[in-house]
Amino acid sequence: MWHGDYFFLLRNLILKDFRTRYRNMSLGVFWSLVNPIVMMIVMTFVFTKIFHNPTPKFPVHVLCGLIPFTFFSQTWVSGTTSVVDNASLIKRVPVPREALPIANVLGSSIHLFIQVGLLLLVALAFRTGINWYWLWLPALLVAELVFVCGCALVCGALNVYIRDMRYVVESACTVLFWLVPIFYDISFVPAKYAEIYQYNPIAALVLALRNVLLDARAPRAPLLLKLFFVSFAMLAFGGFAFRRLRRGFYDYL
Amino acid sequence: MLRGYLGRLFKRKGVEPFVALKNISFSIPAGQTVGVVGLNGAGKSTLLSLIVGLCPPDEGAVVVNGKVAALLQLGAGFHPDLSGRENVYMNASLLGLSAEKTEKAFDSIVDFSGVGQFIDEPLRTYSSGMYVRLAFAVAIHVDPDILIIDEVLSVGDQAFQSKCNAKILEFKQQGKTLVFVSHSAATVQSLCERALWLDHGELVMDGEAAQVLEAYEGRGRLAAR
Repeated sequence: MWHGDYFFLLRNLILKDFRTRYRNMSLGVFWSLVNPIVMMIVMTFVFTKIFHNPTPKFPVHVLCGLIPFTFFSQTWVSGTTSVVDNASLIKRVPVPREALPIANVLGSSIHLFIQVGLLLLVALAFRTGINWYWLWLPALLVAELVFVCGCALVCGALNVYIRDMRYVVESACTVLFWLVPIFYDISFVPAKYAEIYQYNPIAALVLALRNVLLDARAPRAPLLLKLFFVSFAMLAFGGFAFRRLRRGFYDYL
Repeated sequence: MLRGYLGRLFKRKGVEPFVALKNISFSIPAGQTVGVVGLNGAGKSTLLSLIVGLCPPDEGAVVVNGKVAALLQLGAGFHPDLSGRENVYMNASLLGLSAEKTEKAFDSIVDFSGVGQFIDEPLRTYSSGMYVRLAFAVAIHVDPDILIIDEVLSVGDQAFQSKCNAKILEFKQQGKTLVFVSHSAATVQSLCERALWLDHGELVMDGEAAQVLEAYEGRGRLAAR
């Protein structure tokens, strides 16, 4: 029953979130670079000087893992609380509720783009060279955004009824940290598990990024298929679940 | 045509289910101005929420034909750290205005609110009067067929009240449908042709504004004695 300009609404929600968060900060949005850089340095030290690791160009290798993972886990958590945090809006204005998690994810995507910029710089510094396969990057990033949107929709809706969802999500991310080949290469994983890894869009994305940047080749078709299929399936599921769950929002907020 | 057939609406509160509204059935034709009166807790806000589409009814159906703008709270989406300008855009998009319409109406909004150069200052620097005037200025620039107003207009000083009333009269002349919740009998009397009286979730009386108000006030006086 809401008649309005959906994109105008999304734009305003994103701008509002952005401005209120970074208005009074000095470095502002570039703080999102600090964590990956620090983690990269620490991990490189631990996994090359302490545990010997044959993987070449390790900083690039580990950033390919860190960046998709960090973005996913932070955005999934903030997307989960986005509906409950905007309870006053929901109870007063009949805007489409999906706009809340979606605006949250899209607003956070600026961090992803900045961090990928960092990744490309580091890659160039390690002389991986630019090649045509880099054109795969936008498609891969879109897949991640699609996947995290789906996750945010489901968990954001569930969070209204089960306020613990936030903590469930955070724990899941802790587990995910180990299940995504961030600081180890996929070659260490036994063959029977390696197949399953590819069904996890975050792991698949990490592998694809390494294919493009480090191996200088296009990601293989089965990997891409799994990545896009699971991502879009998650989005569809998220949309469907959100639609079903939002009927009770007014009473539970 | 605005038609509301409403059954029960349950709100869980502990063991006993709380029925906010029951056996409500009414129909509002286009262009009518309807006042809703009742004591606090009678279910007026719930009724408005149902009409606006914020929550679905547990039984029955709500049928609304036409574009609805809801003023259930002035300044929905307002954030104290953002400037007046940024808040206007946010609020306008929430109320359903398109980007182009907001651009065009912006100067008129600032004019109506009378905040002047404060428009670029953060909202937390505004007085409560300025806040309310800005919020109302945005709200009236939404161009709906049906306008639903909860008790928000009772705040603000005399000058604001008269501005509000003037604007509402303008809407009436344009043939818009208005549903209006108010505790001020005088306002309901002057603006509405028809009134609905809600008491403990039930529709006690539905008819001509003057008659309903007389009954409502009379009962109030009896209770006070």
